[in-house]
Amino acid sequence: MTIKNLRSILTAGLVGFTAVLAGESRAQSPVTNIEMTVTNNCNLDWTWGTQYMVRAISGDYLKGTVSGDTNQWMDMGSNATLFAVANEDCYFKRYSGDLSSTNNPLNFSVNGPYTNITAEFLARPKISDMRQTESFTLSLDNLDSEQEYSLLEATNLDYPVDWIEKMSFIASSAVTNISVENINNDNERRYYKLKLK
Amino acid sequence: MNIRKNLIGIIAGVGVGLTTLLARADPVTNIEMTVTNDCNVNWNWATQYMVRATSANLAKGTVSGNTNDWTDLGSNATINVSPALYYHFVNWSNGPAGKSTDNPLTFSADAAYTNVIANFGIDTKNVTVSTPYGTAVPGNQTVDYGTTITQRIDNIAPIETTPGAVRRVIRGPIVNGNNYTPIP
Repeated sequence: MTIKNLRSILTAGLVGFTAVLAGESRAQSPVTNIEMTVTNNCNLDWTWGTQYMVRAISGDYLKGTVSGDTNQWMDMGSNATLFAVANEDCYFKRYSGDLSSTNNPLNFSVNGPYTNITAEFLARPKISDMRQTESFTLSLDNLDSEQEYSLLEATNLDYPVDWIEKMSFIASSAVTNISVENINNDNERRYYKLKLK
Repeated sequence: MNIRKNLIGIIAGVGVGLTTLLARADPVTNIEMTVTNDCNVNWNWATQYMVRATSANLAKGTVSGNTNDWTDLGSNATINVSPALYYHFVNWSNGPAGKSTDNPLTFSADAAYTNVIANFGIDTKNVTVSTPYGTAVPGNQTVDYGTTITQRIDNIAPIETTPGAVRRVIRGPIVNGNNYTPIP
């Protein structure tokens, strides 16, 4: 296991008398015991580093989980990474709390404690019956307000599915449903799904 | 024999018509005079003291100057010291009173000093240790030059300065002024 905080650094000191050991992300314990043959006055400073806690949770574990550096002491200045993984029929919306971001995965420099990060997930809107042969009304319950969605249509679900954008719209509380018209009137079964644009 | 008398000249009687020679480098030991008065001839002898100085340990330092000289009573003798590398002069043994740490040592030859000894000591070095947390063992030290020592840091469990949010962890040593070797 790589332990990021384990570095032994000796810097040059008085008139070149100093030995230098340097390490990055060494998989070894820090030096806590030394031996020296004293030929000069010298200063020995035991150095201590700063670590910050990075703690991230899912806002709703039924909708998704977060992994990576979710409960880690991290070196000051090091990079933390969080992965938001949405459950089926859900999607990751954003991180909130000590930081705000829609990036996924999210990489950030640990320049302070981040003990309150929440990965927010939302359920994807469901179409009660995705197979339609005629015009129908799509209920927009559970849509994330202010987000733009696409309604995709396919006539054949054989692989590869050729989904075509039928329409797009921006969800809001004022819009609770939309009408989807089958202008082909060919009585052929079509499939629909909503997707965040 | 640490005291000796040297013939340094003659002192003639007052009123005697002769030439007197005093304080010459070479004492007068032979004179001529035409005697016209009663007179006294005193052959004058002076006192000298032996000044002898040595090093207590030639590997640690040497002495120079009046290290083995007959010195006139009341005149100055001077002894210098030259410490060896990584040594320093400490003091004099058997020297004149009140001057045990003088360097160089200059004194009036008012007695015989036949066993003045220069003492030398090995240089010492300071190891100054600091740490904001934990316990440095043994910490600050003053040791003889060339001494091999160990230093360690104890009580190195992380220190939570803000519980659950910020902590300090040991990283290792930085040594300025001396080489060191980590001990596994």
